[in-house]
Amino acid sequence: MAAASLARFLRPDQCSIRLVESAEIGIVGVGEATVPHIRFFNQTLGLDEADFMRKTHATFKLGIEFVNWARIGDSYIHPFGDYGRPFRGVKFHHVWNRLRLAGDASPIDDYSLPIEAAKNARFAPPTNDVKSPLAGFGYAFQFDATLFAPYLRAWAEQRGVRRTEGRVVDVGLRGTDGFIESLTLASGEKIEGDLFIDCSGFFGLLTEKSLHTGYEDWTHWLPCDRAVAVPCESHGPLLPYTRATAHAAGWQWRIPLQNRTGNGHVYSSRFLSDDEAAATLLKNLDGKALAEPRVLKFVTGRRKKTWNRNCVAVGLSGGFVEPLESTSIYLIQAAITHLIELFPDRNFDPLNLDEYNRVMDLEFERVRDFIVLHYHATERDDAPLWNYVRNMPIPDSLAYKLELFRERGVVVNYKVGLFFEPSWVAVYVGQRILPKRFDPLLDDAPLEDLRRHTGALRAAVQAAAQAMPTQADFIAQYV
Amino acid sequence: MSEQLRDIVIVGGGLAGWYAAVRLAHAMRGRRIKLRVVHAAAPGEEADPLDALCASTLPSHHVAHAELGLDERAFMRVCRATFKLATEYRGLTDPSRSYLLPHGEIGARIEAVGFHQVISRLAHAGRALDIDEFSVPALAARLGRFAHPSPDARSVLSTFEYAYHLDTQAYTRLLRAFAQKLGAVAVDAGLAGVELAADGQNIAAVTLTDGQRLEGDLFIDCSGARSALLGEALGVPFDSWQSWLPCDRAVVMGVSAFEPPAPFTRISAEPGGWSWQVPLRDQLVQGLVFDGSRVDADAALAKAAQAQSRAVALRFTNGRRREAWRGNCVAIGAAAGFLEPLASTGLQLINEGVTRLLSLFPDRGSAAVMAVEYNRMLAALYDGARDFVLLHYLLARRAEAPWNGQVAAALPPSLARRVEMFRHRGRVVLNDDEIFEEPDWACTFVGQGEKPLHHSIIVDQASDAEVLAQVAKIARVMQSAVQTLPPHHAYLERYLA
Repeated sequence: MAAASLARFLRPDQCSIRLVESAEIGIVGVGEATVPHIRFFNQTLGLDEADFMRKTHATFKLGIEFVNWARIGDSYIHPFGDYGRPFRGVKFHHVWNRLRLAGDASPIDDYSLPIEAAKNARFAPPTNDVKSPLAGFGYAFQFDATLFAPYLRAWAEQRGVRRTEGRVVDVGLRGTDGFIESLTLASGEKIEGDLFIDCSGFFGLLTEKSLHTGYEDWTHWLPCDRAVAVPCESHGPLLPYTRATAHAAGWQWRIPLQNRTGNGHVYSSRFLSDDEAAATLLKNLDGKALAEPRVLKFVTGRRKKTWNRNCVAVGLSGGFVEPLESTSIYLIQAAITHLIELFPDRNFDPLNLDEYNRVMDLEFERVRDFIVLHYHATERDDAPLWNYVRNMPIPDSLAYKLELFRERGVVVNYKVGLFFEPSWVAVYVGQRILPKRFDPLLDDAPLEDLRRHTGALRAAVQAAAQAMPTQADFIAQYV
Repeated sequence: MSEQLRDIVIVGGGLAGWYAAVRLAHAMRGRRIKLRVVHAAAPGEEADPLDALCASTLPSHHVAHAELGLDERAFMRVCRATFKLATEYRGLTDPSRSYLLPHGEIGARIEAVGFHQVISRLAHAGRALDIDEFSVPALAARLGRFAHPSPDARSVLSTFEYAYHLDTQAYTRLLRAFAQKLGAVAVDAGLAGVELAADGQNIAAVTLTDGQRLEGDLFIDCSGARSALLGEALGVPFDSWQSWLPCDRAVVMGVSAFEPPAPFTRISAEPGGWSWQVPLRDQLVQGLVFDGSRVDADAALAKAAQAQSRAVALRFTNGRRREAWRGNCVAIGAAAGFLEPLASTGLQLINEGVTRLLSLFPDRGSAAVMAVEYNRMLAALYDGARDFVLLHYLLARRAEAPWNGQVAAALPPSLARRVEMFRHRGRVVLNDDEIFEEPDWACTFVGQGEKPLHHSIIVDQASDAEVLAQVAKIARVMQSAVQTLPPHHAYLERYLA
């Protein structure tokens, strides 16, 4: 992704881009599900959506279903879109909350078109016409990351990126300031450069092994540190959403692709052995496993400086947050976008670096808070992991957001970073963080007026979803 | 005691007070509430003289009007209002230079990068272009033309917004009548005293000059810079910005207009301060804002009197209360903070205060938590606006204060970072809550002569010739579109006929 983006934005006469890749280091395929920002990435490169979907076996994604999170037996979908419409200028989730506190039972899911479509395995693209019921939502993709990488490779190589197959055995640092000067490959070849982008994964070959940048460990907030992954045969209708099912010591993802289903079990090695984790994963597949389960190890956290000297860490080398909200590829994209916006010259003015790290810190922290919310806001007490996360101290920034929602349904909004108001509403409500109070602006609104408002919205969502084709039909025709 | 706050007392019947009353009464139609507005000033006196500095507005105001269902024609007729497309700043860098801060997009965005980066790139290639040539509202303002933005998103005439110039007293009367129609009750008496609750953190009642005593659940302090409830009674401290922004006086007067009203506000650097011209439909409002330690206020008044107009002299201190909401008291407008109107923020800060109060409207149990969030947002909005105003002084390049670029105190770190990043590479650093967006900051930096050292690589892909051809086309399309617009005054007279 970094090579393709840089090739897109740097003129060949200004810059040459080389990519060193070792076939010995595989692609970590946990990031197969994405958030809607991926579409901007594809559009920026000018990728044809249908072609991209065909070549990466992609499906559309309207949200993520969370099963067994707040309580065993619970299920909710975090959709890519708004809930309902405001009533007399009051946001919809307050209207829903007012009726909930009055005893009405209809779940907030009933007011989301992407949720309704997802539940019925349907898909149609949104429109720009704000008055249409098909407005107000977005979509992402679920794709095979091991096919996306070669797809991008071909794109990047066509635009002048030189790829070198090889393993880095030595990193040469400049004596004066410790900047990276060159990489030496196992073949003996020496590659010099001005700017180095470390996409070596958790290992942090450049940023950590050479520059010793340091890592901020977030395991005390997000104790999962392993994943075991396996693809399986598809089963049933082609679903336009990812599922995350909570287990005793972690959770399991299910990502439907056109031809197969990706699965993985993210867990905490403190509470579960690798064998037990693999057994749980294999027991909970929709279809026959298509490979041997592979175990991945990680430490959740963030590199202390994602840009250090002349090295920018992009992807897992910059930090890792488990793929519960499909943020891995988003964070790669953010790291690249901000780098392009702040692209340095040979002087490496520290202003660019400081600004980059400030913004990336925000990106990581805001994703982290959102993920921690899923764990912490649980009532589960059936396993040590859940007892730990339920009682652990959480980041102040999250405690603040939680209090405002719990108190009166207020979402703390921000401009820099991922996840806007509807996402927070979805996860708060789905995790049973239900506001104690309603918006006072609605206290005397006749409940019948509110019910008429919500009833019409519910019916519109139903009708719009029923009018959509199934995702399988849509893809068959589109791709 | 009921959980809901049903008895709301607004103290101050000026612009902030009645604007808050209208918005609250409208948002709470159907609620069982009591909404009283205490005048806080003797009859015939202005509740808040600083209202006179709110005559030039920012674009989001008509969003609020649309929500209220306030008819634009009726409002404009009553308030002698005109349309505003921009603010012209004259002589801030040197006496002969002027630039516009338009309300709208600049050029066309390239891969999410502001057009000022293209200007910067071409400047580095030796082709200096005027950023005003790439803005429909700037071009229209220069030509004195106006029409409402086109609803067709593909049209270049949809790429702008507009604000108003208005008569603040007439506007206040309009708001008052509207609020009363919506059920707000005007209490025609001044404020005599404030009774605190036993905890000292809440207000129990206000006593009035006519002997009345009003209890309430929620008190909204719109008493102006005095901050009678929040500041004086509850003791919330005022953080002065005077060491950054030394102006503390203003003289305001209405003069006969000799020319048709221009669709923009004009601000000019003057010795010791600045002057502004806000064109109403039939009159020009002129003002002088200055540093009282450098300019003799009496002389300024005497000069104003020569213009045969009734002049009002005002005093103020730039700054804000450390909290805008404490206990059961929320301050809106100058009672929460004041910023000289160099960037037309007066009504906007009132508007933000009310809008965010409504979105966080508390009951008894949630007030403490809502106050924390409200104070966080309002502090950010006020401080961001302060940075924006201070930027104008900081980038000034004239010989005499306050336009010599000398700021007495160390810059707020937030502004220092914005300036550094813009100078370095034209990057506009924005926080989560801001009144001014990227084009506003970029136009101000560029207008005041800042030339970033570097430009974004994103605008560096095509050749100079290709980029020049592109920007020439944009300018041409905008130029010819603007030519189709009618003169502002003709449009105005037809629209309001």
